[in-house]
Amino acid sequence: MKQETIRQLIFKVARDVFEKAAFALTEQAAEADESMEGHLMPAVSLNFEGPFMGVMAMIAPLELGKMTAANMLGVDEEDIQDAGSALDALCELLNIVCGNFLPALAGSKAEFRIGAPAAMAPEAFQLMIETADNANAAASQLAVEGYLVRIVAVFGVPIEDIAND
Amino acid sequence: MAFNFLIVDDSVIIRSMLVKTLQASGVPTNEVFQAGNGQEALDTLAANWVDMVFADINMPIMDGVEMIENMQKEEVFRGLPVVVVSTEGSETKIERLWNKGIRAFIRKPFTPEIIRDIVQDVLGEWDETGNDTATDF
Repeated sequence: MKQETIRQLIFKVARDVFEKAAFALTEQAAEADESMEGHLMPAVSLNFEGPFMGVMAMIAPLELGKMTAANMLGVDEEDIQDAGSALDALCELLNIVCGNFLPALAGSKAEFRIGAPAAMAPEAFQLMIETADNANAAASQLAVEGYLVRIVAVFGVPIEDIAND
Repeated sequence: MAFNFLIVDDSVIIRSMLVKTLQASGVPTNEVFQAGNGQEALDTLAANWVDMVFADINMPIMDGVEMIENMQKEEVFRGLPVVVVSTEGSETKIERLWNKGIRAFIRKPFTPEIIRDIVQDVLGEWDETGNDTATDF
């Protein structure tokens, strides 16, 4: 499988999840406000294992976490006061993205076990992004309600060895 | 007649979404219990009457599969409808869940309409007063 194929798959799956689960308009990353300076940027990640193992991680502005939490709960954004709810929303969205990404990547017969998502240090996410051009990683960017979201997947095998059965 | 539900998921936000969806769906709801893993769910079931269970699969301490297997060992829980709400995408794993007797499988992300329709399918129709129309003669 090609790295560009996986990048596009990450984008497509993430777009569907943000739109259906969080009712958030999602577009190509070019539509996002690239300047995230001054924004708190929590990162979340989870591990998976199965035919191959890997890690998937996402970084997004805290404001987007609050917005998606409010949308998912059907409340006003002002009602989401704590960062915990925002982080929980981002964790669950990553969980759903990964759950839909893996069968799209490896086929519906492949069995994976997805670990619980959790917060990760933004510096650790940055390290992952720097490996995104490696043979066993792929990353994608998307604009969710104008906010830039980055998602990266790092696999335990080279991407070219991943077959969709 | 109002129903008691049990929602089992380690995500607080998913549990909250399901609670709100049930409340907004028109389902006559009495109590909605929540549990963060399979063991908490079994403890809740032992102490409370529940008409229907919504359960995730991937959870810490005790996952959804083990919870369902434990429920089947107890005669009082064997007929209790369990609806799995999960990101699980493996056809093989989903088939195994059906073989364990689940009543429905809902893939995340879900819409409120899906939840409402599943509850109607599993528990039967109800009218605006909350009466089970299946018992109307």
